[in-house]
Amino acid sequence: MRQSKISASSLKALIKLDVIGRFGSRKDVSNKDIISRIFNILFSVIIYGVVVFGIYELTNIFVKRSGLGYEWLVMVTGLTMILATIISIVTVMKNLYMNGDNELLLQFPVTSAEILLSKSIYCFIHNICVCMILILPFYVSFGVVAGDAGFTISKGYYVEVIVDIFLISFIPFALANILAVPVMMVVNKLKNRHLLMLIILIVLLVGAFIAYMEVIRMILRYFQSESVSIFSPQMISTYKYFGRMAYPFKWYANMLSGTILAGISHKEIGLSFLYVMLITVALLVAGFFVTIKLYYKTILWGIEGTKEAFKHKTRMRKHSQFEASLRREFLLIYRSFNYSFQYLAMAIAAPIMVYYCNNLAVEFGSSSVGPKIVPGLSLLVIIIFSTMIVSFAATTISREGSEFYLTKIIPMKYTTQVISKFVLYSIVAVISVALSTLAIGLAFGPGAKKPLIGYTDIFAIWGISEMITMALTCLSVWADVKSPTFNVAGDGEMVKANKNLAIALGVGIVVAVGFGVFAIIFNYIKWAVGNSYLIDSINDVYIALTIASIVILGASASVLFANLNKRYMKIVP
Amino acid sequence: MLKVEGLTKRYPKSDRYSVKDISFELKPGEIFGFLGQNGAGKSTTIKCITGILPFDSGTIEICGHDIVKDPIGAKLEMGYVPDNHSVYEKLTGREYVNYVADIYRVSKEKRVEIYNQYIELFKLQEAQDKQIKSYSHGMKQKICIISTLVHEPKLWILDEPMIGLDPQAIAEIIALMKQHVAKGNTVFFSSHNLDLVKKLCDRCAVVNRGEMVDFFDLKDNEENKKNLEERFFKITGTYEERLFKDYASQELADVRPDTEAEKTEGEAEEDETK
Repeated sequence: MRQSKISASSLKALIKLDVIGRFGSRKDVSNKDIISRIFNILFSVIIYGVVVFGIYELTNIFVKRSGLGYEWLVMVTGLTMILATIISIVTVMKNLYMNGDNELLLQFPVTSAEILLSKSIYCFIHNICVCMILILPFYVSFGVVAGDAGFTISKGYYVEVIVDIFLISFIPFALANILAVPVMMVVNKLKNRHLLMLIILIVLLVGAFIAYMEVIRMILRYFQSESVSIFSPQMISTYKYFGRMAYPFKWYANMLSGTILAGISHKEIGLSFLYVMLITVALLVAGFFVTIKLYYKTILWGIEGTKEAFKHKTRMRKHSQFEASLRREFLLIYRSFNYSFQYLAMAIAAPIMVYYCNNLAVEFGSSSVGPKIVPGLSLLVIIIFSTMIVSFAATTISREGSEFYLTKIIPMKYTTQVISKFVLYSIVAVISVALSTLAIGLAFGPGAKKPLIGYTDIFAIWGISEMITMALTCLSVWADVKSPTFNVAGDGEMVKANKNLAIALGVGIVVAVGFGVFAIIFNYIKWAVGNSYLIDSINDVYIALTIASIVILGASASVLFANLNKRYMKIVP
Repeated sequence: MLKVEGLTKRYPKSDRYSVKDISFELKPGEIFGFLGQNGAGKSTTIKCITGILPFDSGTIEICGHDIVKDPIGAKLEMGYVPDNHSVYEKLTGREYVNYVADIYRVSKEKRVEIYNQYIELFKLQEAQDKQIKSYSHGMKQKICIISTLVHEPKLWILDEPMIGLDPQAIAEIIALMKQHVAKGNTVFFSSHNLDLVKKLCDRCAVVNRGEMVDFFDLKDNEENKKNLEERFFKITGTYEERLFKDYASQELADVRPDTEAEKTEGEAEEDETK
């Protein structure tokens, strides 16, 4: 370390600086900012409330109906600790090592120990908050459900919950301090291998989505008929085995509910506490030494080290203006971790996600409402996913950032430049939608084991979805041409989504729901005006939606391309 | 080569003109310096000329092409190096120059020839296939300059091009400017470096608060060269005798150390006594 002296006043100043840097000064906060913050908080609370409700229901299933309370506690403790560790590693990496303020702070009359300590205090507080948010709903739900089920849950249980979570929070923090540098090295090694990164991102995205859909499927099946495979005798014995063997998670569960559920003696609970304290202290000591050994070296390496640059040898080849523009746009997305994830990974993973989502919706929808739900549901799901893909186009101008001036000085019409962007986003989305439709066709079409839709349905779903996809691309690009936000950070990438993205997503979801619900309703009922039927069959529905799609596409294209040159000229970075 | 007439620009929501009624004409084969304090309107004028900013009134013609009526024709004749030398940093140096060459429709043979020539000149051979993100400030500036010359523009516009460059790179750029005008092209650059303008430019103009307040010949005009600093300080309203004398004497010592020899014996003795 450069210096190890720590002064309370320097530490206080650094923490204050950090807090202002993160949350902004309290002074000069506009009413708009206050409203926006209140809105964000309300939105987060609603989402969290929904998640907590889901957790409560799951706890109910495991504790009350299946009598697997202890095993449930061990499982959720393990799961949340792993999740908290991942979040903590990212926090430590970002704040201790990758934060651009290290170079600035080292110029101040503060020691590196003070910088490290001030940043570590933030990371630790962040970690406690994460652990509370993640674990508290599980433990509190457990207390409520176990109480309802007839177990004795005293007020002391909730005090134990707080103590337990506090003890748990040291583990992710200590592990993060030990693992942050190795993880960072692996990330640095991988970050220039764009294709490999993209594949990893797709696998993670698809994996997480499939796991999520399977959990929902299990819950829904459980609600339909309580005798499902997740509570088969074999699975129950697996849960019980896990509950017995899952160290160190079971120690935390012992401390919390040992006497209530598992009939564990006070001696065993005391031993669990001892083991928890021992591993906590051991990991904290290891984390402390690893950090003080590596911190200063790592940030100096970050400041003065020669980073491994991405290398790609090419030849000088001639392309048309349009092709060059298209290629440039693609490479800028492909070579960015954030953009690759937001766009390419999503576009490639969408067909698989559409398949799973549709499969689940059809499984429960067709059994409760009937198989006629399938075309409308497929349309709804495909358009929602294509919306998620093409909404990325709503940042296409904003993403130019400080290089926007180049689009103004090059001898290429603004309209042609925008068309090249539109073509790129359309091609990717059109292919993705085609593959999504193909997946649905294979799963539910005439060739499937249990065919639910025919070739006409598949063709109509494909055609309508493609037109809407292109229309949404037009609208997304239009929104960004209208009011781009050139907020850039770090290496020049847009890190925050702008309002255009929200608009594009909102419009897409409205269209998806509108089209989907229309197709579902009018596949069941007929629509007559006087004596003549306007909609008599699903084919009439397709004709109506095709006409609507053509109108929407035409209107979107007109909105985007009318006076485009003039509007583009007015954009001033 | 470049004809600006009555150029006027006011930013939206601003109550004053950033550029007001500026007119000038540049001839083929000249280097033209554009001077002014920070915020005087230099960059705004350049951004209007290059087509980045729309303007309220006036006309701009580049090689006979009106930037508003025929922007493509005008832009094809021009190369622009911005003050922040922003380029697409996710591309490699070679990819970026190739992209620009594609956009300016440069033939394969020509782009290879020009690219190799400049890459060697700026000693970027090792870095050319690395992502621009990893380049230093000076290297980014150099790749930006190469990209603006790959289509051999008739009008080369540089906005404060020497900032942050090492002496060797500055010397290379000066040489490039001279070479460029030797072929009958024109160089238009803005700068705060009065000495550089004095040495390099055939003519120069001074803008102050959006208006062009002085315009004079420097080539073969020793009187104008000698008075440039004083005129600049007086025109921009920043003249203070104390500051000017310090500046002028410092510059004289830095740039023309030989003037020491011209001092009389008496003056030299007086200096020593001081």
